[in-house]
Amino acid sequence: MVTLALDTSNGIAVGVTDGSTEMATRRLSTGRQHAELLSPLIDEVLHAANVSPQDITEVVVGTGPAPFTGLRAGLVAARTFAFGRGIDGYGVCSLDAVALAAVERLDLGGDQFIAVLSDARRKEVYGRTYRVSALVPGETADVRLGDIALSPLSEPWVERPGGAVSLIEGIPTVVSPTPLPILEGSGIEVTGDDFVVEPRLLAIIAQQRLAAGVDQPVEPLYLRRPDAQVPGPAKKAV
Amino acid sequence: MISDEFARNHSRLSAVNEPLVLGIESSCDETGVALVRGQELLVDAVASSVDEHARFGGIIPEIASRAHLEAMIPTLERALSTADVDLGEVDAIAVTAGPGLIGPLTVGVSAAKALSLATGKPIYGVNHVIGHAAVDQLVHGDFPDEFLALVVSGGHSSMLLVDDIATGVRELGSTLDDAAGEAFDKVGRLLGLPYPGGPHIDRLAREGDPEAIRFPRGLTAAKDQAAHAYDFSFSGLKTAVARWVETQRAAGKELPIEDIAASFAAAVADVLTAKTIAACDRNGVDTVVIGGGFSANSQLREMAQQRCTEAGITLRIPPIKYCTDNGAMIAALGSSMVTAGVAPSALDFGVDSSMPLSITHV
Repeated sequence: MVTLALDTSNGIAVGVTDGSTEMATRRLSTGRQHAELLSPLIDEVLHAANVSPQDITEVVVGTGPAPFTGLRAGLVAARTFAFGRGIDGYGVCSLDAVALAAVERLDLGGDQFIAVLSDARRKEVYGRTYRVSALVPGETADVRLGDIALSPLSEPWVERPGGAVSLIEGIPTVVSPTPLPILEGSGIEVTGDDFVVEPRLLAIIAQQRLAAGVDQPVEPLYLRRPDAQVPGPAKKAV
Repeated sequence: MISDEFARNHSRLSAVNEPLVLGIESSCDETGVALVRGQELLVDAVASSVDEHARFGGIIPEIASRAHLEAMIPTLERALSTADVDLGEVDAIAVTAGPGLIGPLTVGVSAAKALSLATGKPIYGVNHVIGHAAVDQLVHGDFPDEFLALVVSGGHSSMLLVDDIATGVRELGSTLDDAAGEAFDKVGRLLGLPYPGGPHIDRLAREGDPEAIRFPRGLTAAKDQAAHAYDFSFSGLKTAVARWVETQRAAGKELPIEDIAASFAAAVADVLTAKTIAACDRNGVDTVVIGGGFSANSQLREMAQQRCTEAGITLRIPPIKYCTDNGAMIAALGSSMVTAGVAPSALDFGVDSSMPLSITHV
């Protein structure tokens, strides 16, 4: 199983994994130019991993939430690459990979809660909350890492910092993929702000959910409606 | 950044006589995927989000972009299965790189590149406006050595002098403000017609008197001939219609809506055709190709046919279904490029919302 995993929710991240082993990974911190940069980066990663497109057996993509245009570039590339190769594509909420990175790096154990926040622009943040617990044999967990289980407590949401405060109240560990200056003065203390979306973790999550029979559509988490206003009467010309 | 393997695949493609080209279009609100072999159209699959924009009175880029993402794979599947073509048989992929709306363009370009990577097929990022002229080859065959192309749509009004559709396109002029179709949509709104206004004005105009009201012809005065012989301006015309309508309304008079539509449509068709005929004369060209969504306009078609016949000029206008945005125009242009031996695009090309007409491909 050779997985191409990519994410365009926060810059561009592309990786190739064999099972849970990372063969190559690359990251660009751009917030724009996804149409331009994503495919060359995929090409570069395939080359670095010494695999050809024909070797890829599945595609996993971060589905956001994220600003629309960049997010869509990743989703349509994942869908089309999978279509072109005749293989399956799976979508994973990008925030889940951030949460799993925190579990791994902060060595979180026991029974506790974490929140993931990311930049939604327009003075808002995307967020999702999770429960971290010791894996109990026989009990189901959404995602496992060693003997730790990670399970989402909510759907992803988008909120102003004030709204986020109440949604993550009482949660001791708050992490984000990038610094969030917008949280200044909100009372939210961020434990770590460099938990970027790792393609390897997206692949691990997708494989576990696949094994558990969870549906993983490659559908964007926009969380916002398009900006569009029904026009009023025409303006006077004279 | 481009791997050796990718570069090798791409340089292997030399001029092919009857290349099988997959074309992808997503510059506005139509997701188009088509297959062309040489100059033969095998399939032209289009999904449109136009109905979702109607209540907003114009294209909302984010709504169009979301629709492109959802339509891309189904439209690809439909094109391939209808033509009974396997992706492996395709010689090259062509995609609109611009001009157009950034969000929609990003979907098509990202899709085409990923498809190119997955299949190892070379990719051509091409100019949408030039595609509107190129599509006519699929209907009327080879282009002559030199011709004039008038591309008119909701987003563009351009005059091109073409000696090779793949490599030799020169922009003579274009609109300085509104595109022809855009002016129609704006006047449509002014008259209280549903969006898009073009077809409604066209229908009403057929019942009105085109000489009832003398609306201005932009950039046709003698003083404009030095700098703007090939350029258009429709913004002043739109304002003139607005003023006329407001004056009538202020006087409590009923609006002769058919006459307004006919007189307005006649002004647009008059300027477009008069300038095109004059450009042929100046450049010694005897063939005109008209493309783009606005070439569906019946006043333009009739006036262009009449004036071209009088001037001894051959007029080529593709059927209406090929004048609107579609994958066929992009596949047709891509096919011309492969046949001409044009080198494929590097994988790192971007989208260009205002791609100049001097660029046929990136």
